[in-house]
Amino acid sequence: MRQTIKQAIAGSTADYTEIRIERRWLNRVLFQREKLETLESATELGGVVRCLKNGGWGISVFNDTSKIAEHIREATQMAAVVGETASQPVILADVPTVQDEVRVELEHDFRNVPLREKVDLTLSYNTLIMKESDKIVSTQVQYVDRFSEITYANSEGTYLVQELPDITMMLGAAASDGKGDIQQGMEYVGKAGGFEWVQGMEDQARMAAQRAVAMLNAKPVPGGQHTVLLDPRLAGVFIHEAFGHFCEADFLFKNPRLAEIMALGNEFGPPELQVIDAGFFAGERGNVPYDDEGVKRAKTTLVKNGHLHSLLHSRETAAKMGAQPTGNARAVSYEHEPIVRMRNTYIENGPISFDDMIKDVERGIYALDAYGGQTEFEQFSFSAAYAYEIVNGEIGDLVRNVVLSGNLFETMRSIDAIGNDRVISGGVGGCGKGGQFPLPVTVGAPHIRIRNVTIGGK
Amino acid sequence: MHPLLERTRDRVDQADVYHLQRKVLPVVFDPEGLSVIKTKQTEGVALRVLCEGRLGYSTSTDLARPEAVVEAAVATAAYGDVTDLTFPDTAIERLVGLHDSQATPPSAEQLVAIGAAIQKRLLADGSNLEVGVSVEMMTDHIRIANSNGLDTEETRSSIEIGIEATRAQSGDIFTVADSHHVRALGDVCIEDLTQRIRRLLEWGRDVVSAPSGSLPVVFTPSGTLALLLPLMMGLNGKSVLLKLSPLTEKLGQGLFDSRLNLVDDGRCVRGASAGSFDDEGVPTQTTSLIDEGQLSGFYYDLRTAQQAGVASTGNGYKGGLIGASSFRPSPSSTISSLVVGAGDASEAELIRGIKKGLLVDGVLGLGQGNLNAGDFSNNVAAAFAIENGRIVGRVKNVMLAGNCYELLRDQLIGLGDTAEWVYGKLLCPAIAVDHVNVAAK
Repeated sequence: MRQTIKQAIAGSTADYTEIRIERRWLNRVLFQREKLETLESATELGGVVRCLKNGGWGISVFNDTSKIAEHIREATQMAAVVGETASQPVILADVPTVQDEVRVELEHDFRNVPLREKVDLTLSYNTLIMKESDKIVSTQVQYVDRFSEITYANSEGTYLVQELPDITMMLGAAASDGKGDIQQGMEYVGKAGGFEWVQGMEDQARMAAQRAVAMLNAKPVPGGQHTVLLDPRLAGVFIHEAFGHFCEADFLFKNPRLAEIMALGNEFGPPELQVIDAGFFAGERGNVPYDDEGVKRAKTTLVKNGHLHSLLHSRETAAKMGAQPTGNARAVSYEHEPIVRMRNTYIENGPISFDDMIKDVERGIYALDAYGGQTEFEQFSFSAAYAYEIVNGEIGDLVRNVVLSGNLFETMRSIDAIGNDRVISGGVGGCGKGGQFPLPVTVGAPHIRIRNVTIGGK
Repeated sequence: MHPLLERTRDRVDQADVYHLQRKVLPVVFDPEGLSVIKTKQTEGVALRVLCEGRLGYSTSTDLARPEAVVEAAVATAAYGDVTDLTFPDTAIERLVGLHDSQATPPSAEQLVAIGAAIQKRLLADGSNLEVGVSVEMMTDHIRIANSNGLDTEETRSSIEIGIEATRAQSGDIFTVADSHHVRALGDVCIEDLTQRIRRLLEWGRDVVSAPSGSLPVVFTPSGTLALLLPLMMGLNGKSVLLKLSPLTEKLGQGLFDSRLNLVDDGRCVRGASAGSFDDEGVPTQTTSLIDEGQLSGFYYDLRTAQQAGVASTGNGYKGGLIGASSFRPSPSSTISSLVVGAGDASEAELIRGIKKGLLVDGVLGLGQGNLNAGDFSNNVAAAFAIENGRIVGRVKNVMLAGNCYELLRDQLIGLGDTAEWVYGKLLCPAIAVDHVNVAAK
C-alpha cells in the first residue's frame, strides 16, 4: 500500500496532493422491546484524494482503491476549474512533516470478543429494563463497536497510519401510563476503549427504566425565566454546541459579524471560566493523535479567565488568519474532506461545590443531560433529558418538557457559579457539521449555574 | 444471478442483496465564490440472510472480498432475531421520469453556472448579504436481488440545490436556508429557486418585539415540519407496533379536523425518494394515512408489517427521513413523500385573518421534545409577527410549544391552497392553527 500511494502522489500534477485510505470494521447489536432488531457486521474500504491546483480544491471519493492515480487526475481537473475562479486562493499553513504509526492497545479488545457475548450482554441490559416495571412499553438498547485504520499521506512527505477504536452502549427505556403519555429514560457510555467499558452497567439500565416511569408523573415545567443548574453532561453539551462551534475558524469566515464578536481577547464569561479543546484524554472518544491533515494533537485553550484565547484551526484557516494549526481538521470518514471540528471540549473546574451552588437558589430548575440541541448563530435551544425543581436550596419534584433556549452570549455572561466536579462524557452518537455525522467527540464540565434562562413550557 | 446471491446458495434459506452504485458531483460556493468541486464514486452492498429462521445482516464496500460479506452475514444469523420474513417477488410497475438515459449528464461547469446564477440573483436584491450555494448532481444505480426470484434494477438521478443567505445589519443577523430537489437540468428555474428566500429576507427586514401567549400561528410549508414531525412518527407502523404511538389501535377514528388529508406517495416522481420499488424490492404505492380527519393507515416496511400481520406499504427505506438512502442501515419504516392535502385559503388570506399572531417558517431544535406524545417545543429560527392581518417584522428568541394531535384536531384555522415541496420529502400547504403557546423573552 505504502509504495502504491507514494507512486500515485509522485505522479500528481497538482500543487498539493493528499490521500486518505480507511479500513473500518463495525458490529452493532440493537434490541427494541423483546426483539433483536439489528445485528450487523460491516466492513468498509474506501479512500479520498484532495488536490490543490492554482489555489482551488478538488476532491475525489472512491471505494475502488485500485485506481488511485486516476482519482488524483480527476481531483486535479476539478481543482483547476475552482482555481480559475477563486478570488482568494487557498494557502496551507506550514506544519512539520511526520512519519508515524499509531497502534492502539486495548485492555479487553472488543475485536476478540465473540459476537455471542456482545449479543448476550446487550440482551441482559434489555431484559433488566423490560423487567423493571410493567409500565415499560419499549426499549432501545444498542451496542456498537468500531475499529478504524487510517492511512494518510501527502505530497509534502507526511505518511501516517493510525488506529482509532470506538465503543458505545445506549440504554434507553420508554414508559407509558396507558393513556397516551409516553416518557423516556436514557443512560449511556461512549469510549475510545475496550469491552470493559460496556460491562457492569446493570445499575444504569435500571436507572434508565426507573426514570422513564418516574417521568410519567412529572409535572410540566412552567414556562418563563429561571435560575438553572446544569449537570456536567448538559453543561458540556451547552459549551460544545452553543460556544464550541463558534470557535471553529471556518465558521467565522462565512459570518463576518460573528468574526467580529469572536475576536481574541473579547470577554465571554466570568473570570472563573476556562474552556479547553484537548486532542487527548486517555480513553476518550474525541482523541485524535493526528488530525486528517497529519497535524499532531495539541491542547487548545479556547477561553482563559473568561476571555477568548484561541480558535480551532485547519491548515487552511490558520493560514488565512495568521494562526497556528491546532490539529482540529477532522473528517467523519473517507467519504469526506477534513473540516474544522472539536475533539474533547470541556469547561475546566471552578471553585464551588455542588452543595454551595444549590443552597442559595430559592426557586430554580436543576436540568440534567440533553436529548438534543440546536443552534443558529447566537440562538440556541436544548432539551434536558430530565430535570428537577429547586425549592429553597433543595432538589424537589421531577419536572418535564424542559427546553432551554436563549442568546448564547447573554447566557454565558449569566453563568454565576462554576463547580469543582468536572466529568468528561462521550455520548453514543457524535457531532454533526456540514453533512458530516456522527463524529466521535466528548463534552465535559462541572455543574454550572446560570441566571435568567428562558425555559419553554406549557 | 447477482454474484453475492450466488455465493449464499446452499448456505442459507433465503437471501436478499441490495447493491448501490452512486455517482455524485457536488459544486460548493461559499460567499466568496466557488470553493470546491467533488466527485464521488461509491459502491456498497448489503446482504440479508435467513438461516433456520434467524436473520443475519452484513454490509461492505470491499467488493473484492465477497466471501467476507457472506461469512459476516451468516455469522450474525447464528444469533439473529427469529422471524418468518419472506423476501418479495412482486411484479413491479415502472415509474417514468426518474432518469433520462439519453441525456448527457450535466458537467461540473453547468452546475457551477447554476450556483453562480443563484448567488447573483440573490445579491441583486440587496447589500449586506452573504450567500452560500451547493449544487449536487446525483445518479444512483440500485439493484435488488433475492433468493425468491426477484432481480430488479433502476437508475435514479437528481439535482439537489441548497441555498443559505445571511444578512448582517446593525447588531442583527438573519439566516435563511432553503433546499430544492429536481430531477434534471431542465427543471432548474433560478427565479423559482430563490423566490422563498427573497420573500423571507424582505419580511425580516425589521426586528420587532414578539407577542406572547396562546396565539394563532401560520406555519409556512417549510415551517409545518415542527407540527408534522411528531405526526410522521405517530403514523410509523413501527411506533404503532411498539405501542409508542398515541394512534395505536385507533384506525378508522376521527382523530383530526375533517379538512385534514394525508397521503404517503412513493410514486410521486418529484419526491426525493421516489422509485418503482422501495429498498426491499417491494413495489411503491400510495398509502392513505389520514382521510378527511379519519385515521386511515400507517406505513410499513417488510419486517414491521410481518410482525404486525399486515402487508408492507413499500416504505422499507435504508436511510432516515432527510437525506439519500445508503446501503448501510437495514431497511426500516420510513416516509417516502408525505403529501398534505391543500385547503382553500391562500397563505395571504390566512395571514389576513389573524389579528395578533405569528408566521413561522422554520424552527430550531426540530425533533426536540416528547415527539412520541406529539409534543413539540422549539425556538423559532425564522418567524414573523402578524398584527391586524399584516406581517410587521421578524421576531427573535421566541419559544413555540404545543401538541400536534390536539392542534390538528381542535385548533385548525385552515390550510393554504398551494402545496410546496419541503426537502424533497414533504408536499404541503401552509397550515394555520390557533392556541399555540408562544413565549417571548
